[in-house]
Amino acid sequence: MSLNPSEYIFSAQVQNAKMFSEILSSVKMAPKDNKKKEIQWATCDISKNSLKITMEQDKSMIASVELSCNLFKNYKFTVDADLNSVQFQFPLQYLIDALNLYGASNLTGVHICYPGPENSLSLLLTETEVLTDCKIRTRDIGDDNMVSDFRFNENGPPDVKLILKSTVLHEALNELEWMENSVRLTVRAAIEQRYCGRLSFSVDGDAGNLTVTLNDKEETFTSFKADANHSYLYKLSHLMRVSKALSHTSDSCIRINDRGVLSIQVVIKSETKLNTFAEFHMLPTELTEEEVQNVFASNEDEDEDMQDNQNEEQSQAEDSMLDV
Amino acid sequence: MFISRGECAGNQDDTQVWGSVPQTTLFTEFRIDSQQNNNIYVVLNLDHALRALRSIKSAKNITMRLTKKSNQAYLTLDFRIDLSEGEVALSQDIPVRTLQAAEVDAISEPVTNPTVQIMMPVLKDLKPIIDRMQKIGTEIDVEANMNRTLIFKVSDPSGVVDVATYFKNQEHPHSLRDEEGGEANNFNVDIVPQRSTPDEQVSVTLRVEAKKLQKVMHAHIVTPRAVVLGMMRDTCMVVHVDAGDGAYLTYYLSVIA
Repeated sequence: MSLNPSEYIFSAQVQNAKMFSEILSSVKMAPKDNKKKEIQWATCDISKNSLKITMEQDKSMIASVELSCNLFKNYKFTVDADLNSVQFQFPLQYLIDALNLYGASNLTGVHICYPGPENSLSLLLTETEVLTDCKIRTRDIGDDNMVSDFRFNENGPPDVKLILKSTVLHEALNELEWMENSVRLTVRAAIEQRYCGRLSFSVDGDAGNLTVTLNDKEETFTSFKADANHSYLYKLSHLMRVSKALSHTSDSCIRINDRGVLSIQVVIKSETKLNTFAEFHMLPTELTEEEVQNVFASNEDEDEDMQDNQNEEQSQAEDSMLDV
Repeated sequence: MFISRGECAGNQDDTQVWGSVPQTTLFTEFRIDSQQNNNIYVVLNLDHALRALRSIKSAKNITMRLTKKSNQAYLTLDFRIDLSEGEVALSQDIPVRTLQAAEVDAISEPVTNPTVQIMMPVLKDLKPIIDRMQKIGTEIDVEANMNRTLIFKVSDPSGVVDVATYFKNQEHPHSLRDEEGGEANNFNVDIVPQRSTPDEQVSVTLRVEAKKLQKVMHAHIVTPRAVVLGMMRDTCMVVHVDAGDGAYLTYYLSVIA
């Protein structure tokens, strides 16, 4: 059994099903209300150079991953000249399940094909002598299932850009796991000779409040750029979703634009030299100006409760300098 | 020693498993005496038996006896365990119920005459496939023919995904027997078909509950020498697991029409 590439709009081969499945899992969303039977549809955008998978949740978070054509073998994309790309939606979890069919194995070869609109996505999985044929129904993108675009870069480069190792971010986010619905993300710009730049996550709950702080010291951050102070509230479940995806990544880049849209870009670890990026965009929940002012007034006075161990001594010394 | 499950368990699953281990494989000394042709039939709860057997894992000098205490029959295991301070003698009692002759006569192994018989792939390799298929749908279609092809298919309830796994190079049990020059194998005589030239066009498709098939996959633990699948059109599916040294397990699964 084989597939004839000329019959399909798109056809490509993946050498390593496990790696492909891990990349796709990074944008998988938790089902709403824990209803496991509900199908989560992801959007697939195929072009000459790449395959992009996008998933949306609650209209406030978009996760996407772009796979370069160079990650595949025999990447063929044939459409009419006036079309640059094709888009359709498919159930992401079933694709991931199919890729993992033979168990966690590196040896599975995958041949993926898309014949065109109103057709099923076809996957041929081979491992030694065993062959599996999967057909996954797709649906076209219409008015009722359009994917949002938060237009992150609309007003130019973002004010905040912080780069750090994923393990550092993962540890910080894990501290928040058992808390409330919203988390405040605060970036404090550095002022030379007074205090360093700082990123903190705070949650306020019935049981108490918790702040996790990362200071721009001792190589916590690879790069820290913030022109001004920013503070926004985001859904904790979205940040926890990002945290889950961090285990297969090496570096993370946090950016916030002028409308408070948060972007976390991650570099997915791979055996190949090619870097694959996943990106998470989150909309802030409502915030008044007064609340923003209060955040910065209290941040300068309070003692840090929870921090990275390596920063503890430095920030205590710092606090004594801040009595303004 | 024969093991029978299914109707005894009283659960919804009507799968039956018949197994046998030659006494010489398990025991160094064996003494038995009964009025039923020196056979003793007991019914016991597998959870109890499992718990007792787990405790004798690192034991020495294990003896198994049928005993009776205050009108209750037990399968008693006496054994010794090494502790840092020395040796300890322990005893485990598994409550059992002995069967009368009439009850014994009522139990019989299902008779089967499979239309198609084919060797299953290594269970350890097949297990993850069946596990994933069970996540997609509750029922799996198994199709086999006498032309070395075995196919497992599943669809999700909403019809959004169809998965089919093909094994195209599976042997058939009678062809193995021919190659070995008619050498006797360990398979239950009922399973091997009488005809010598199989009709290659014959193909049977049966639908089984995915969970039942998953249970059969657990047999990979005994590292089977061979596993044979027998299919009877519209009736049932038989999986015979040859564990080597004369030990075997035969699963009888009912199918969904």
